[in-house]
Amino acid sequence: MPNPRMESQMLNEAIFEQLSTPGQEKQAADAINEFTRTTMREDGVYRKVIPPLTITPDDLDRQYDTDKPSKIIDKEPGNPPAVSLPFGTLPVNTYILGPRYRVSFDRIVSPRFVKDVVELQTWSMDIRQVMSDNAIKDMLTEEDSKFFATTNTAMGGSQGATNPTTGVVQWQAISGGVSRNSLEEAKKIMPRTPFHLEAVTAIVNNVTIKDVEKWGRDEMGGDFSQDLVKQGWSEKNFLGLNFIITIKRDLVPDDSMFMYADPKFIGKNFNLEDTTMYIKKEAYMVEFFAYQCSGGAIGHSGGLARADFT
Amino acid sequence: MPTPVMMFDHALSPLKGWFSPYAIDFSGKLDATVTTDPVYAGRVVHCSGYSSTGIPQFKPGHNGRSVPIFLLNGTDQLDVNNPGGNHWKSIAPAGFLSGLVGIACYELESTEFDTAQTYLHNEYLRAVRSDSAANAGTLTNQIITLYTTSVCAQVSRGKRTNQHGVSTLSFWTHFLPGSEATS
Repeated sequence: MPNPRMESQMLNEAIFEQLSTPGQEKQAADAINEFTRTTMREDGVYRKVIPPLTITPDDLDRQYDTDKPSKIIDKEPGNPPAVSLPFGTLPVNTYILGPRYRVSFDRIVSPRFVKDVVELQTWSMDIRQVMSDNAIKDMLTEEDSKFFATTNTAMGGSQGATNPTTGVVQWQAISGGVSRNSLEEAKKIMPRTPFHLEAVTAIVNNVTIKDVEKWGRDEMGGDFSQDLVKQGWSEKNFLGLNFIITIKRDLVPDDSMFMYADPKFIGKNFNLEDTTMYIKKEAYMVEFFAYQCSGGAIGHSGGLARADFT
Repeated sequence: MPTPVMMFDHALSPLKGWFSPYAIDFSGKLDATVTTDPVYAGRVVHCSGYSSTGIPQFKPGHNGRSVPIFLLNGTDQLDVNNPGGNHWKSIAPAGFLSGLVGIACYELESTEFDTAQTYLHNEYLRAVRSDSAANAGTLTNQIITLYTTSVCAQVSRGKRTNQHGVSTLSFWTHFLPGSEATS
């Protein structure tokens, strides 16, 4: 049972020790003045699934009816199947046609932060740095939000819906909780499409993964179960998948797992303007905001799958 | 084969008051109940409410006390929508429209108005309120009773044919709410 009185006493003793030790005054001052953080933020997940490519204006494809930037991407065409024929017979013609898709762009911006510089001087933390660092992580969250929304739409829009492109339900409910059996059932979703893809990346949130930590020795297969109990989850590769654990529970709900094929089977993620911080100081007023211009599209929905464990 | 549409066929040109970081603009998404398609740049929308995730929802036109918003971009533009049907799904853009709020002061020029009418200097303008009509959100000087009908602008330089050969109407934004019902 934690003893707050004892902990507080130990902290005070540590501070007094530092104050009385020559040269330690600054460390003590830092410990006292260090600001209290409130929110955990993380890097973007979308960029780990489909790594961004830098695109320059020369790479863009001009359109006659708009000067908005866009890029046309070729997609692998379908082939009619090979057939067997008797002698003296030629094959049927197939005129070469193929699909393409368009990637378009927009901006993601942070709020525009404004402040009188005199008021900035009363903060012991560098509040500008804290807010700009958090703003950039929030911009990555906005990217992730669009990515997961598009993933859900591309699979058919809701659990149990048939993807019109593949004819398969790629967003399924799987019973049995988060078990070895149910995770393997989830891995079967993607190969069931006509495109025979395998999941390469799996994404769950930081609550769901704790159910995997509960797996006993026989379910996990050996000492790994003991290691999980002692040290918690730290694996990046599991079940043959690259596992990404996210804290964004509003995008990746509890007991859900998103699965993605190799990015070359999914789509594109382009950076036209990398994240830029605009800063302006006019007299005693300072303002700053961050912005970026990026585009992305899922060109092939066969490389997506989602399992909701019930 | 349909006639190609050029980028200046449906547009809003701010003559005065924008581009400025201090300009009052507002962003949101088109309400799912709106069937008018497309809702072009230069048309008027109003904020009818917020989605469950806090995103402002736009509907074409305005009436009653709804504040008019003049769209800088339309639903047919690539920085708003990139529809791919079943062939692709766009991650960016995400369907956000943005416009200039009509209670701030701008002089604007729009292609989206009733071109059959004559427009006199200082005449009041309203925007057609409908979720389904093809002319939803377009400007007109017809059937306006001051303080009953909601007004969004007054004619400034008037109607002209611009350098692209497209008919446009110039006006100053001026919001006068009306006693008519807000819908």
